[in-house]
Amino acid sequence: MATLWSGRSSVEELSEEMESHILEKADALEASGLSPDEALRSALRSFGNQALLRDRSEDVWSDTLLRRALTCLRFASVQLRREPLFVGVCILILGLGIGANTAIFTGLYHSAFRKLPVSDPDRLVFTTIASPAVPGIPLQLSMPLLSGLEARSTDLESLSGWMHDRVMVPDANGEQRSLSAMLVTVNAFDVLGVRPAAGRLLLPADALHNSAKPWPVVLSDSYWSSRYHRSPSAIGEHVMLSGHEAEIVGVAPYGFNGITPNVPVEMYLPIAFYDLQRPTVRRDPLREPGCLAVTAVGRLREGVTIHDADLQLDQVTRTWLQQQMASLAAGNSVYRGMTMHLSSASRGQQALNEYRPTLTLLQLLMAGVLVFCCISVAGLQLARGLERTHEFAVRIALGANQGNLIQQCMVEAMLLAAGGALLAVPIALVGTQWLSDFLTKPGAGEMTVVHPNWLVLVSAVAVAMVCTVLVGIVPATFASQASPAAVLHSKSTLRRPPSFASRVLLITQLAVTFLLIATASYSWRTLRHLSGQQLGYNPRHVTEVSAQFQELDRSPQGIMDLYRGLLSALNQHSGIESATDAWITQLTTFDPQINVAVPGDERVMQISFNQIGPLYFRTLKTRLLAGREFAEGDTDDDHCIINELAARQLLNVSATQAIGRKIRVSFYNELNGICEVVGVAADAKFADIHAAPPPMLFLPITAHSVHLGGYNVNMVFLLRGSDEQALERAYVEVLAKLAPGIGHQRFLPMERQRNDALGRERLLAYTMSFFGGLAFLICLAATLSLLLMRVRQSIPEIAIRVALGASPRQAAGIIMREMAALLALGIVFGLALLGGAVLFSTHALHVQRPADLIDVCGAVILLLIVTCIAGGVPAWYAANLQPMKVLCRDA
Amino acid sequence: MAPYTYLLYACSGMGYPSMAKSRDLFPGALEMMILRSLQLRPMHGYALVQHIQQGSDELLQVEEGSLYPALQRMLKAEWVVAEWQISSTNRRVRTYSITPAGKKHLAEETSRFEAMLKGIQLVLAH
Repeated sequence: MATLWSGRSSVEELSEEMESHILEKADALEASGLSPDEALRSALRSFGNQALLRDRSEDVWSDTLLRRALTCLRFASVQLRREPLFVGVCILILGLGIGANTAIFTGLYHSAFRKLPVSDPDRLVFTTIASPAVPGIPLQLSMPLLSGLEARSTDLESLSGWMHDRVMVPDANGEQRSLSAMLVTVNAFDVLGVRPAAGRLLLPADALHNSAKPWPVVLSDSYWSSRYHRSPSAIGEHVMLSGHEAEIVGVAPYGFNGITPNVPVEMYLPIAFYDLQRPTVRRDPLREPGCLAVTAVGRLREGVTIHDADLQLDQVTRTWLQQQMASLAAGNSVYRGMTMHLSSASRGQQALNEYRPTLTLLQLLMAGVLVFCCISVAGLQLARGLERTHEFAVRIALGANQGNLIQQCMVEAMLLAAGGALLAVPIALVGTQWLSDFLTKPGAGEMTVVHPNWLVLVSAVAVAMVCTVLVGIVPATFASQASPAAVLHSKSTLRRPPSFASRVLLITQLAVTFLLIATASYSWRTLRHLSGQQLGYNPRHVTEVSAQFQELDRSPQGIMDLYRGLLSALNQHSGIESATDAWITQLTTFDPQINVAVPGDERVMQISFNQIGPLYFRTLKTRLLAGREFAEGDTDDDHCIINELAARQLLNVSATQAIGRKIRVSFYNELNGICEVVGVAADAKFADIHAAPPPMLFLPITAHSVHLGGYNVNMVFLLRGSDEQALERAYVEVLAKLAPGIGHQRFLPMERQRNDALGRERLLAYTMSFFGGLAFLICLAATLSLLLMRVRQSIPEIAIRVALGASPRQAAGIIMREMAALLALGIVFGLALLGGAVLFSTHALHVQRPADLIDVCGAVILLLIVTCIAGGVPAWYAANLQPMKVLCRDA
Repeated sequence: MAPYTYLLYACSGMGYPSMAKSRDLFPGALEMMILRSLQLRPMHGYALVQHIQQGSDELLQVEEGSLYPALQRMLKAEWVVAEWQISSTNRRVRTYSITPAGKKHLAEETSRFEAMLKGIQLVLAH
């Protein structure tokens, strides 16, 4: 039965059709008198190659362009598979270049360019208060001020209030965990224009909370993922937050971290929740106009510029604001002459601003690294291309044209670049994670959040691909211009070697390697200098931890008693060598200044100030030069400790002579009085590791200071002991005994804090060392390949010289002289690049001593080693040439 | 031999003895002859070869190497359809028939060919 067939023929059908054709013809031939065998043979002969015909018939149906591309791709992969070392090195170089650029630019993007992932972020503004008493420091608002501002006619379309806080949440094991939370006005999400990922966000009705209802809480996407595994059933679930019942009403979108884009926030609660977090004895930003603790984020009306809105806001609010602060201004100069201002909030509260110059420098260097990687791959491709001269000549002799060869080289280069791009993805992911570690703000205790920027990855891949492909076709261009007969006959390499290109590649490689090595050397010396210098205290084996005592509904004296009780128990615990508490820990860059003066002397000095508990200097191992530490009985502000520098500058006496002297202190009119110096400590670094130790005054932690600490200040406990885990266990045990149900924040080794303070320097040192070392190795390999290639090109010339009487040393000298000349040019070019980097460091990073002779000398020595190794092998090869063999072969 | 002489041979349906290869026909000539043959009746591959050969008085030799790719091209263009049938020799063969699209194409190509032939003849007549 015949089968209807109108589509593409299968291979079997074509075979059967041809078979029947042959048999029909054989029948006809047989009928004309041939024997059956002869007829069949003749029919087969005249039909021709059946396989070829089948292929041609098949080709009609296949897409020729696609088929050619696939063939080309297949051939390219076969060619590349034959040289796994070359392919591996190229892919590694490109992967590192692309991945590193992606990681560094991700950091730069987060610190300098990224806007909040909200609707129309350019219209978002921070509303802050400026005070002549604290110039340059923008102050926040209080809720009464925020409400008053909302009621006034300004260019702000809407205004929301944000307060960062911590809440205690039981984890899966029932243990209380202190989590980061944002307390917000219920319109906060509307102001930002954010939509929920699940459930709902806060509604106006949520502002009117009553005790019968649970608190509405919106989870962050990351907390929803980690705690509830993105289960939709989490919506509507009831949880206990700091001992109060709350209902999960929704989830914020992925990537949204409120107004702090790089600091994780786990949940969002109505700002009224603050009332439950604070006992009434503390200052209250919800009710007190002068308690400036609410970050105000507003949205400008359409078409209004920040500048115009700022002018209008100042006009509308100046008199009103000063009236609001009139009662406070009498007692505190900060509240005098206040004005309101607007600033852009499109990028939120950036935690990474201080890293921007470092990241910019690194990005410039990484761009150089990417170029270096492309150059290195180009060099390797060039050397490989010239090795393939004979192959190209054979292909030209067989009919290939220039287009075919270029197409082939281009496909091979694209495969290499694609391999590099694939490898770049995990490198970018690991690199970004690694970068986050360096970008953590000292003392923040929270990891900075950065995610890889895929757009940058694509851009870097495109750049690498273009460079690799462009350079990849160079060998084919040269090969196609050569006469295949001459090449095949002579058995030597090209007659027209691209010597200029290879020289430029070598010089650029040497220059970039020089720059990277010199920068790495400088970065390491800086890091060693900063980390090895005397801090004035010993951070080893000291762990910091804080607890949320503000959750307790106790009076300041009650909390003070708790601090003392905890310290006493901790100091008696066997796992703890010594324990103390302090208001501010070292190297956080937070540096409050206190006004000090000698009674009877009009001269007022501003010096750094901290509040500390007993055994502070013992715990930190800071030398006490005279007097004593604070004791348990020091429960008022009548005693103080100063450091040696303060004794000299303020009292103009030595440490011993300072004991018993009186100092008048004043801190925003909240601390006012005269205290007696009971101890003098050695100078130590305080807020900034890059700065010299400042003159300091220490006051004891008292009930008064707990009260003044306000609504969100917890003292930090400093625990010394060699076993960190034992310290943590001891603290949790003591805390559970004396303040059950109180959550604690995570433990932070003080050394980690020092490392975080050196984040910029560590980032530069590690990155530059890695890439400097890598550049050294790549430069070595690429230079060796290119020099060997050039030696092969010069074989006949060297052979003739040797035949004419040149000694092996002179033959080797030809190579070494050329290498020395290239090295000199590379160093000159590298010095110019280094000069540019130094200029940038001096201006953008304010580095006083950006590079030294030692860095330059070190880089030169390393490049000399490269030259000796990379030039030595070809030179040895040249010195051992047997001229007659070479010349006879090439004849 | 000048190119136009060869063209004349090819266009006038005469095979050129020393270059009797289908690729030497002008583009589309083989397809035109196949379609014209199929317009008479459906045929299988071998029958087509025979028909063209006999129709050209043995002057044109259609090679199988050109026939089958051409038939595949025409199937793809939907000028012909194919179906399996039993031949007079009791053998399963694939028979091709012309489609309306094939007829239209044949008419267009024939008209174009005639115009071209007329033009060439006019030039050669001077």
